[in-house]
Amino acid sequence: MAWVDREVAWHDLAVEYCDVTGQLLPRRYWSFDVDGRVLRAAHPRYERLYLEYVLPRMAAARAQESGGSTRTTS
Amino acid sequence: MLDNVWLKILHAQLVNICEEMGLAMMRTSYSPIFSEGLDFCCLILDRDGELVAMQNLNPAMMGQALYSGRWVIDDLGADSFEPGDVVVHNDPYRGGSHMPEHLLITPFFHGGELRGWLCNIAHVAEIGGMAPGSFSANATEVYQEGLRLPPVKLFRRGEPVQDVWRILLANHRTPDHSWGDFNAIVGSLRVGLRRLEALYDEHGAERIESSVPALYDYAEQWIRRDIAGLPDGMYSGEDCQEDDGFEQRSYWLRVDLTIDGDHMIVDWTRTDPQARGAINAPYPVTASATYAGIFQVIGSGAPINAGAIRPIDIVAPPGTLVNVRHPGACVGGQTELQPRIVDLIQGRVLSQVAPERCAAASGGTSGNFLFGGVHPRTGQYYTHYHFEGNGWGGRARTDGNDCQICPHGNCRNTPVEVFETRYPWFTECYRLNDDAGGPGRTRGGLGITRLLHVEADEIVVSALCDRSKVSPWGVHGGHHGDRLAYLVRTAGSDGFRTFSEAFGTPSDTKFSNVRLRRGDVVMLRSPSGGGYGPPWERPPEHVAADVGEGYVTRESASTRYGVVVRKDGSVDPEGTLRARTELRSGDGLG
Repeated sequence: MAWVDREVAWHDLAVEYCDVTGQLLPRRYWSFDVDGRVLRAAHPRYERLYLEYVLPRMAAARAQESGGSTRTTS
Repeated sequence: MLDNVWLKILHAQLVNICEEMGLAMMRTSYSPIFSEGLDFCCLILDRDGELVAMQNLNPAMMGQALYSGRWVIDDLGADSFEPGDVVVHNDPYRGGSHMPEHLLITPFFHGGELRGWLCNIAHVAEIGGMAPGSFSANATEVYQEGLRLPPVKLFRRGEPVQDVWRILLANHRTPDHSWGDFNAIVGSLRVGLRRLEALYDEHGAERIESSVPALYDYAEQWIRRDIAGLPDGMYSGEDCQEDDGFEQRSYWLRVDLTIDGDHMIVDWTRTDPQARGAINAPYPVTASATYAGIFQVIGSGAPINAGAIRPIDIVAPPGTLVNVRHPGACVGGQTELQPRIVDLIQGRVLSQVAPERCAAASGGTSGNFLFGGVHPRTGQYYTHYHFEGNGWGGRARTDGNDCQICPHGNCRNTPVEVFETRYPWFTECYRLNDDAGGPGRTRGGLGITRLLHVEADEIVVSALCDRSKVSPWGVHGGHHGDRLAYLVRTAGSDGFRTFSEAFGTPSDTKFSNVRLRRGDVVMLRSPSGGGYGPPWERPPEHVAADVGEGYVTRESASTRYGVVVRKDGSVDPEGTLRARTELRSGDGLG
């Protein structure tokens, strides 16, 4: 996990998004690894948000789709 | 040791600088959207682009304040700025909200060092694109919505960068107004620079800069304390836009808000995919609206700065209504989706845990009505972007406000005098809509009706609004308010019709470039707020007062509130008892 500076040419206007929150990523992003997958975040604190909220929610949604438990209320 | 009195004074001084910048802007701009509508917001950022203070004017721009300035600094690099530089930026795909809203940012140096940034985010009324007023409901791509500017310098060391100005002015339909308005924005930045310099001279850079992080912490602690006062859990809600200007179907906003101790997560993952039309919102718009909805319920009096939002995380997946992917059209997200998000957060989600601090739905649309043409009196081309006041929802203890711009912004609509002196319209009528507010223990505020006669050979009009099919909802037993209707009576015809009926537009409320002729009449009827609490709990004397003021008819007082008002304006107690018993039993509560 580390800050990464995007190499962006001045004429390159493509946009990238934070994998956790959906925020746009300007020049720098926080890179972290979850089960071999490299994710980009707008801020280091979103790593924790991903692990403690997004990941469990995604798992619950998958379980719901396959007929499992649907309850996620804390 | 920093004391809270000093922090409070510093915060007030910083906000006051923003306010003074705003006054300069209001008094020197060319366009009514600034001088009358106040559709702008001045703010101060720290060296890293974090929000230090903002004018108490336009919460709708909070997200842009947080993300847009930081983007500019990150993108261009703080080292590339010199005193007197001004950068302009309006790109919704680089931290902006929608293209009419331009961020102008200038660095503040003191003692030869970069100390921070002054910004003005302003909704420029005309920036080209496919419809006069640059608000096209028929746009499907951002490229159709006007001139898109990534961060570029408009002034370099105090001198205008003429190449950029020439590109900009050549793409606006009313370049004279843009010239005046952009210079008013720059003037407001210069006022801010002078005031901030005086503040630094008075207190010293070291004292101020060591205090700003404490201001962030102060705001953060305040918000955390208020969140912690709410019960833990996940609370959900949904609301919809009626159509996107192309497809006649609902587009759903769905939110799950988790309160976990002193931390809040607002998750929009279940929201519908982005629309083809221009109702989508970029992330900063969703953030603005989410924060605004939350701060209407908690944090009253807290400084609004970068610290205030730390306890709140927002998840908005790209490709949805609440986080449009390039190159989706998005001009309406700021004005249509944003008020709906505010109401959804405070009125449907947080009202589950703090009902005494929430309100029913407001009109929920900015009622955008745009027009342009050649003025028959001056021969000059004009355009105008008008947003309309509507009714706000009833609150726990007070009725909703009448005829005000949605609670996401503190803007104002266009006065009749401006309509008639600057544009070729004659206003036959401008009045509150009686019986339109949602009945409740507290009543929904009233929308308005405006009748506008075309007094030119041609006026090209567009609209982007909502709430013509789905009423502003009530809460806790309150009833809904009346819906919006934008209608037209063409010259020689008898009655009013929707624009779809009269001109074949795909949507009644989202259309572009309709050509009206002399003698046509437009009716703008804005929606009214929902009611709060059961109507039969409204004190009878309040209902009688409403009848006396013409807010509610005697018939509605009886049938909707169960209050019998005599012809002399007094309450008939026996009749009221009978009517209320009947009303309650009709709701299964008798």
